[in-house]
This record gives sequence, structure tokens and C-alpha cells, in this order.
Amino acid sequence: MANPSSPAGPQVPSPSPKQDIFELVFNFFASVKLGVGVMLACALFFALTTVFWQEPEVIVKNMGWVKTAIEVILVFLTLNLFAVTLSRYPWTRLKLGMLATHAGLIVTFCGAFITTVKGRDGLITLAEGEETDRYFNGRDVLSIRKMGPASQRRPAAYQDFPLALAGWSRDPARRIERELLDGTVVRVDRYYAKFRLEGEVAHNDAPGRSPAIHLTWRGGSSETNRWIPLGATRELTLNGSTLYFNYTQIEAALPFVVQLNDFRLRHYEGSGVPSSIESLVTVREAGKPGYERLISVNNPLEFPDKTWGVWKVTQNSYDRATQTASTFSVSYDPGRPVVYAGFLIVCAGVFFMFWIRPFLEKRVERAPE
Amino acid sequence: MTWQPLAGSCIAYALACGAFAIGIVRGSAKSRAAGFGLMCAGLAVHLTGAGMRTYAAERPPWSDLYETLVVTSLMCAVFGACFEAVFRSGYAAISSCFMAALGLLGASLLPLDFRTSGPLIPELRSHWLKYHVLSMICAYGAFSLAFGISVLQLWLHFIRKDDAVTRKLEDLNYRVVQIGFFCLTLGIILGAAWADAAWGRYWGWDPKEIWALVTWFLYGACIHGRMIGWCRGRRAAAASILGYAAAMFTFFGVNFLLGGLHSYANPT
Repeated sequence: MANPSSPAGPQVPSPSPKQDIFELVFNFFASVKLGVGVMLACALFFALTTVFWQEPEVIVKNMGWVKTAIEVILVFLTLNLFAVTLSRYPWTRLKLGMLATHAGLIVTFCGAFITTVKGRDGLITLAEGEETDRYFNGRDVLSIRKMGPASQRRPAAYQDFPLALAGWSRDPARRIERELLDGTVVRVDRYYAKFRLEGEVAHNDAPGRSPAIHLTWRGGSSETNRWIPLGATRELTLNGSTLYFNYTQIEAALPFVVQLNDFRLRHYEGSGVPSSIESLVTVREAGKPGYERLISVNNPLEFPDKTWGVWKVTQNSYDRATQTASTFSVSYDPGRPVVYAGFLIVCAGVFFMFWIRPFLEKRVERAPE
Repeated sequence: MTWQPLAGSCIAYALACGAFAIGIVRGSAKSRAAGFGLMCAGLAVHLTGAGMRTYAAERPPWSDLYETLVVTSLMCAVFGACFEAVFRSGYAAISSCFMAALGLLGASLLPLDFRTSGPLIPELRSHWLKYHVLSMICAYGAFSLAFGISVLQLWLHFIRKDDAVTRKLEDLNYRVVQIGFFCLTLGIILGAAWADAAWGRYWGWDPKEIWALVTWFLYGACIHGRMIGWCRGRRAAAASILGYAAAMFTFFGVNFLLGGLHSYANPT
């Protein structure tokens, strides 16, 4: 519409440099071409993570630059989705599918972000009769103890080292070496994520996750070595001096106590195939009576937290030798409901976009002017 | 002599393929009708075979590699028959019959250990098996059909230079990819819900999960690429073939080459 005060027609105010930059950035992110490029880049990057690393789940969680790269890609994708959605304003009924799909993906990414920031997870291993209110949170530590003076019967803390074990599987030549206070050197030569010992031979093919490190302790011309499974302590002696090496993970607190009462492994009749793996546990919260629950594969224990979230205890694995100890995965994830809400919106959006929108378009075309 | 329904359906699909080829080349409606009849017969026998397996094993027939291959072929044939019933061009039907026959042939060539029905391991004893795996099978079935159509499209483009038909095939390919993409989205989401129940997390960067996401991104790029004209004509067919390669790597490759928590393909 012409500006009545201007005989020469509409006077478009010249945009300020700030507006220019904003528009430029917005148009850059609102491009579908960029979206296609980001999707192809995501496909390539994620595919490569499985080619270069045997355990991408460990890498993504623990290897700094991979974690950052994924976060950058997801932020880029979120900005792209957000800008594309905004650029399609005004949102008519026909655009509802696109709007819902993009909004659903943004909600899902927000949920995943909450999971990354606020989520916690780890492992608990309990023998029958044992109880705990703590779990290993996945960060590996080599804890070394030394026998104190004769009056002290127990080994005392000597030195602790954090172990960066992510990415080891694809880089077998990797070593972690640390010098101890007495001048001797401790070296982690090998790391098996699925450690299994058959006689004297170590294998890396146990089901589930049962990590172990191979440690060499060197001083002068002599050295000694040993495999140390996660949670175990091994005594090593070198040149008459003894140290206790414990491969462990940092422990964190649970808001409840869990006690393993009974572990049951059932098999199909006449076959060695397991039919169910179950752990009967007692769960106790401070100041409240305990209750019994059966945890089995696909049937986790859920414990509502005082905050917005649920602790889940799932059956992970068990001690194959004795069949009297159970390993549970523990997780707390306040992002879970947000992610599921995002999933539902995405599904509804894709369905609308593919099959309702063409139907609506036909109706609009048929409608009289 | 034992009755082998899957071999029977494989032969029926192969014959249907021939009848559709004659129908398309000669423009004969009768040949196409005969092809559709043979295809339906093959489907009925295929369905009976899958039903017998379900009855014998007392569980859904998609718990190992052999079964998923058989049911993926079945879904491919079902989608092809549905598209043929609606569009009556013969192209969707010939592609689906070819892919279904190929799938059944592949399944029958697996070692006996893989074909023998075994009991379910505890990880698979969940109601999520029905929903998650079926969604993924529907996705793979649709993508198989889209792959068949894409190959046909490229063949017609380069050998017969028939642009009118290739445009039709491009449109058909897009519609099939839409079904596959929706089923894949649903399958990934249902898988996340199952992983949450079984392992306590909805996403764990397991190789199978990563490759399902790679497939999703590739088909997502293919769908968006069509909007901006990048995925039109030959490029649409090539993109669909690339997506199918990722889907097949998710289906087979991950189990045999990468391992991870989803390696249930090997016989127990």
C-alpha cells in the first residue's frame, strides 16, 4: 500500500546494520539447504563414530571433543529447525505437520540436554545379602594403597589417578603411565571393556560390560604385572615393597538403600538358554519401612525422586561363575518425560505432514473461491 | 515331500514378476492382472508360512535374522500389492515381487542354525518386541520397495530414456519413502522406550541405534532435498538407494561387523 504522505510511493526505511546482521544470520539458519547439509553431516559423523571406535557409547560419553562435536551439531540443527519454523510464519493449518515435527524435534533435543546436564547413571554390583546406597558413576580411577606402620594393620591411601580409558579399544597401542612418589612407574598397558579370564588367558568378549585393566609396575630393572577387574584390589610386590592397586570408579550416593536378597537364573527346560534373569531386592528409604521388589530384564525398579525425575534400577548382568551376584544399571533422568513428549509430537507431525496435509490441500483446491 | 510355504511364495513372486514385466512391456492388462493374481497367491502362502512359524514358536515371527528377513519380504510384498491396487501401473508390484523373492531366497540360503526357531532370550521377552521390531520391519519393507522402484527408475532412465514413466516412478518412490520414514521414526521411538525399560536409558549410542539414526538422517535429507529440488529425477533414485544401503547396514551389517547390545541375529 502506498504511503499517502509520500507522493513518490512507499518510503521503506533503510535497515540499520544491526537489522542487516540479524536478517543475514536468520536467513542463513532458515535455509532448508542448510538443513539438508546438516542432516547429511550428522549421518556422516555418526556413521564414522562406529567405524573409528568399537564402543561409541563410551566414546560419546567420555571423549571430550566427540561429546562437544555432537553438542555443536545438535545446537546447529536446533537453530536451523527453529529458524525454518519461524520463517514459515503465518502458520496455517497446512503447515501444522511441519510445525509439529520441528517443534517435537526441538523438544526432544531440549529433553536430551536436560538428560546430559542433570542425568546420572552408573552400576551397582551386589552379592546375595549385600546392600548399598552408592553406585559407580563410570569415571575410572586407579586407587593405590600402601601398608602403613606396623601399628596400622590396614593399608592406607597412597596415591589416586584418574584413568581416561575411552577410545582404548581402537587404539591398542595406547598406554597410561604415572610416576609414583617413590620413583617407580605404574603403567596401564591394556584395557578390556568385556573382560573374561579363562585360566590364565584374558579375553575381551564377555557379555555385558565387565571392564578390567592390565597394570604393570616397574622400578629399576624389575617389573610385575596383573589384570585388575573393575572393583577388585590386587596386591603387587616389587623390590620388597608391596602396594595395593584398586581399579575402581568414583562412587555417588543413591537416595535409597538396595539390598539383594536372592538372584535367580532360570533356563528353558532341556536347554542351556536362559529364560529369565531375576533379582529379588529390598528397597529402603530413610525413615520408611522397606519393601521387596523383583527386578528382571525388561522389568526395572522405579523409585520416584523428591525432584522431578525417577531413579531406575535395571538388571544389567550377573556373576556367571557363582550365579550369586547381580549387577544393576542405575539411572536418574529428569529429561525423560520431555524427550517422550517430543517423540509424541514428532510422530503426530510426520503423520500429519505426509497423509493429512495432502488431504487438506485437495479440500482447499476443491473449495469454491 | 514336505510343504514349504516360503519356497512356494518365492516361486509365486518370481512368476508374478515375469507376468508384470510382460504386462508393462506389451501394455497388456491381462498379463498385469495375472501378475497381480500370482502376487496375491504368493502373499497368501507367505502369510500362511509366517503364521505357521508363529503358531509353532508361540511368539511373534520376528525374533531372529531369518524371521525378520521373511517378514520384511512379506511387508515389502504387502506394500507393493497395496500400491498396485491403488495405482494399477505394475511398477510397484514388479519391484515388490522382485525384492520379496530376493529376500525369501536370501532367507532360505542362511545356514540351518539361523533358520531353526529357538527360545527367546530374556532380553527379547517383552511386549515391546511386537511394536518396535514390527515398526522397523515395516520401515525396511517399505525401503526395500523404494529401492526396487529406484533401480527400475534408473534402468528406465538410462536404457529406455522414458522420462514420462521415470517421473511416475519418482513420485511412487517418494510415497513409499514417506511410509518407510514414518515407520522408521516410530520404530526408533518405540525402540527408545524399550531401551529405557531394559537398560534404564532411552538412548545409549549403541551401534544399532547410531545406524538407525544415520538411516533416519539420510531419508530425512532425501525428503527435504525433494522440496528444494536437490532430490529430483536420477538424484532422487540415487538418494533412495543410498538410504537403503544405510538401512541394510543397520539391518545386517551392524550385527555382524559392529556388534553391540542389539546383536540378536546369531543363533542362540
